Amino acid sequence: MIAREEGLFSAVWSVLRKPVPPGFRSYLAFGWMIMLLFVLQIVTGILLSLYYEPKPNAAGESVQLIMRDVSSGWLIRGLHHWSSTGIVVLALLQLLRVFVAGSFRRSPTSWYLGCLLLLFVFAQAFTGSILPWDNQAFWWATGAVEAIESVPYVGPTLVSFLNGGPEVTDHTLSRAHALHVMVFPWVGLVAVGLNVWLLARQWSRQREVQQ
Amino acid sequence: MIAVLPADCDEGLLAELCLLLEGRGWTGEVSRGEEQTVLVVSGPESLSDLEVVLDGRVDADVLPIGDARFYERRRRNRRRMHGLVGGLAILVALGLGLPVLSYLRAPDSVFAAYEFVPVTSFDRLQEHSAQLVRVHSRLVLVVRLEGERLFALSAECTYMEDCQLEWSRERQQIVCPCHGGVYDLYGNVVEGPPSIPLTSFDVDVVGSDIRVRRGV
Repeated sequence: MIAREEGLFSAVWSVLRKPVPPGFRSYLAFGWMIMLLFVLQIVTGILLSLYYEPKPNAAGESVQLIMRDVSSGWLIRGLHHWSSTGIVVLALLQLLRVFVAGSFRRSPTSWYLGCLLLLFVFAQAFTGSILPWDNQAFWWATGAVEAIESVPYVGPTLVSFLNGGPEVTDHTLSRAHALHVMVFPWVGLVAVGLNVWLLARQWSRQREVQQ
Repeated sequence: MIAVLPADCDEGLLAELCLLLEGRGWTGEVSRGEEQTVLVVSGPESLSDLEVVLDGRVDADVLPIGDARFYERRRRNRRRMHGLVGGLAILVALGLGLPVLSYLRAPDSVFAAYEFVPVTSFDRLQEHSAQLVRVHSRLVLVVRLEGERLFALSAECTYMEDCQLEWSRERQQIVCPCHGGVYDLYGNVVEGPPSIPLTSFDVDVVGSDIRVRRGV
């Protein structure tokens, strides 16, 4: 059957009608979607850091400034907030897929790296939620710190490292900020880079086998 | 149209097919490859006519080829699609780029926040009373005790920012009518659910004017 349509809509329609390649599955896009959101996190994070002040008596105020006074501040903070939620959901779905499909057997290193990245994603979400330093952030930090403290053996040490002491204080904010901005992003970048390198190596091997 | 035939297709059969095609006023050109033989057929007849000729003689797949107008249309559609996708990309880039550019320019209140702003005067603010004022879009409670003892604190409860704080003359403290949070005049939480202290503002007096700025 030869198409006879004319015009712009027919051009769009002919693209939409194109059959999807046989090997394509929606869940294969999870990894790339996480990468895209990760880049968005870095860009919006840098933009937010232009106005955010990590001081206990100014943090809440600076977040309010971003939301109320800075042009499109609500958009930048919203993108940062919601893309982090998106990463958590997609990272869980991705690991679940790899686990259920048994793909971890093909590249165990990539699987362990993925688990490490999930921990990193949780750590980033946790430290990021403390930064507004409002009442909600304070109680969220208190609850999370108590949960971490209950981890056998390492819990109390981790908590004293996070808080700089036994309780949630102003130091918790400084440490959360340092981890969120200066430590975890680099850990994430290295882990993502390693994962992409491992996958690229695996794909090139598969291609060689196919040829 | 193109007919794809097996690679080991018999020469005699191919010659016979070409003759049949020529008999109908078509032309047939054979091209032999390692994996298959391709028979290119040109003529005014339709796909089904060619299938009738081939039917029973050889196991062939017929691929239709459109006329020049058909391919011109496809090329035009491709160009339109490129334009559409490019236009959309520019729109998305502008849609994200313009807010980012406007975001980079710090609002006036960022710099103005460090300058004293006249908010009230001693004539209007009696001793042991408070006045609610607005400083760069923030609600601030200016409290005057005796003489020139002045305090300025954020009037938004840290437990729930929509709750507007009030001055309690009896208690000499700042109270929240929503959840019962109580703060002292330095912003510290005295009782109630809040955990974060109030932001305090610097106060300055010039003549009878009372001026306030963000705490440095």
